[in-house]
Amino acid sequence: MHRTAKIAVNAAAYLLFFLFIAPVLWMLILAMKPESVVAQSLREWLFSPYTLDNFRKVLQSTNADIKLWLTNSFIVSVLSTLGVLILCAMAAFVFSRMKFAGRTFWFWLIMAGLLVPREATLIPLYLLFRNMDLLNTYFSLIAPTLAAPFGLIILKQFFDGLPEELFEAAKIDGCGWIRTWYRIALPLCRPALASLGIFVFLAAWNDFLWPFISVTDPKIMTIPVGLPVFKSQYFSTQSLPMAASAITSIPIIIVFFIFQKYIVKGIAFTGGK
Amino acid sequence: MVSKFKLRAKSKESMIAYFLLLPFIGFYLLFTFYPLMQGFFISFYEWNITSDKVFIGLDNYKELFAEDAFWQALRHTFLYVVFSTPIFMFGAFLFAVIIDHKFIKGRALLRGVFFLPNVLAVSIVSIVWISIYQPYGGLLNNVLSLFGIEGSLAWLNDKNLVWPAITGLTFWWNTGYYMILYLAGLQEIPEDRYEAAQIDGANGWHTLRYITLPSLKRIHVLVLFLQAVASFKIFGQVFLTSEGGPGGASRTYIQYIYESGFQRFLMGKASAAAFVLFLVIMLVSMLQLRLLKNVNED
Repeated sequence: MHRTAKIAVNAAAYLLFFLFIAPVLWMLILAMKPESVVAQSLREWLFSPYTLDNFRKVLQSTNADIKLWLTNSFIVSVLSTLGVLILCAMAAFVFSRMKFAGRTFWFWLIMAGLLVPREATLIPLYLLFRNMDLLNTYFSLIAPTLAAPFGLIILKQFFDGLPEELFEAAKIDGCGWIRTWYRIALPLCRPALASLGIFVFLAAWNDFLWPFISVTDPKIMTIPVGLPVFKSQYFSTQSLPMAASAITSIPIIIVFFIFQKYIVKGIAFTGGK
Repeated sequence: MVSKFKLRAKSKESMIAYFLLLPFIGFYLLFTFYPLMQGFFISFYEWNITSDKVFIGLDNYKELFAEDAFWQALRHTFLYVVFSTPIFMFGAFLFAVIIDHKFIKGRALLRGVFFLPNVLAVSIVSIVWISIYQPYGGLLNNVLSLFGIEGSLAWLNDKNLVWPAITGLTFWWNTGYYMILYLAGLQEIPEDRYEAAQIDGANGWHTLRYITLPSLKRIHVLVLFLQAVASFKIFGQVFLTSEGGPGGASRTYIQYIYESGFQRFLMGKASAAAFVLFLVIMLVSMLQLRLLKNVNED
């Protein structure tokens, strides 16, 4: 490619880069404006005084406990992730390596679940938890996510790719199925587990619709449900909701940059093959 | 003797298999399969949670199809799918092609920033974009005024602007995901195809048109359907920014289900609407599997 063309493509790339980072910068700028500032023009926004007071106020707010919501989000996401990984790894191993009566039936029944969007089961799911008197619990947030057909098929593909000799050798050495599962199969599929795990974690962290329906108690709220509550309590100002948004994006942005490699690999792995 | 031993070994394997499967199957049946069936049954009843269930056959469906609000929500969602999907696909493809060039400086950083919005929760995205779309003092109108476009446009409160605004927000939020899929696809195109084209004297446009685009057929199908299904389920960003307004102009299908079920407590009718959603998504997914199969056989 010509030099000028290369420069043009670079320039286009960085223009897009700037457009994409702009909303994040906007969030940070507004988060650091004193509550009283009601600026109208870009220049006023950029050059009026900056302060870190909003962050302190947000963290100390008593009628909207951001710290508690962050903790809830963390607990729910971690438990969801662990649960999905364990359940899917067990089931995937069975479908990939074991022979048993009803194998085809169960496999297709579970695969049919790929066609069922959570949104379509919202009302019966709500009624189910209401009947069990389990609305407003961590359990109601975690349980519906655990049996993920998507996770099962990803891990099954991975197990299918492992050499059969490995499992035959284990069998000859007298290694039982369960031991084969956690001593041989699990350690080998660590990369697949990591990719799937990040995926499930992000999905659980950002889930909105189901938590919004099943949780009304502020003590159990996760960040996606709590933030709109917080915003409606401070609707007269933009700076406090922005500060809250900034504070709550930071953990997930850190997670993202640490695990970027796995996220990218995970998406490529789930979509490309 | 031998067959008896084999049989016992087999039944033992079956037992262990079911033992390992039990947690998955249990949660699956209870929280996916049962609610799906239950929703289907409820859709034949008139029921507002507190009252007794009354079997009314297909009346919920008839009522649904006779209601303007239902068709309005369906039409909005459908039009959104039709108009936004090509935009998202084109954007994701463009980003991927640009940062796939080795001469782009800081490719990893660019990829990271294009993907970054994806990890933000819908509530954060909504708070930020409400502020960007503010009629007075908002970022977008401010930037537009730099180019001489004045008028304090009320992006989320104007029935002609609200869908473009939501499309823009969602573009920012989700394009990075599909970009990664395209990038993975681009990396699988064998280098010698490009080399052969170069020897034949193909220019940049030719390689894009005759090598890059056709080689990505699988990814095109994948992105098309992932995006179409996701768009059909659009809810959070609309509900939290425009709240379905102004005057229902941005009410989505999921919002219709939510309002029927959780605000008007018409459990039967909301379940009927949810079942229609399930059917649509099932049909779309099956079409996708079909197309992917054809592409793979090519």
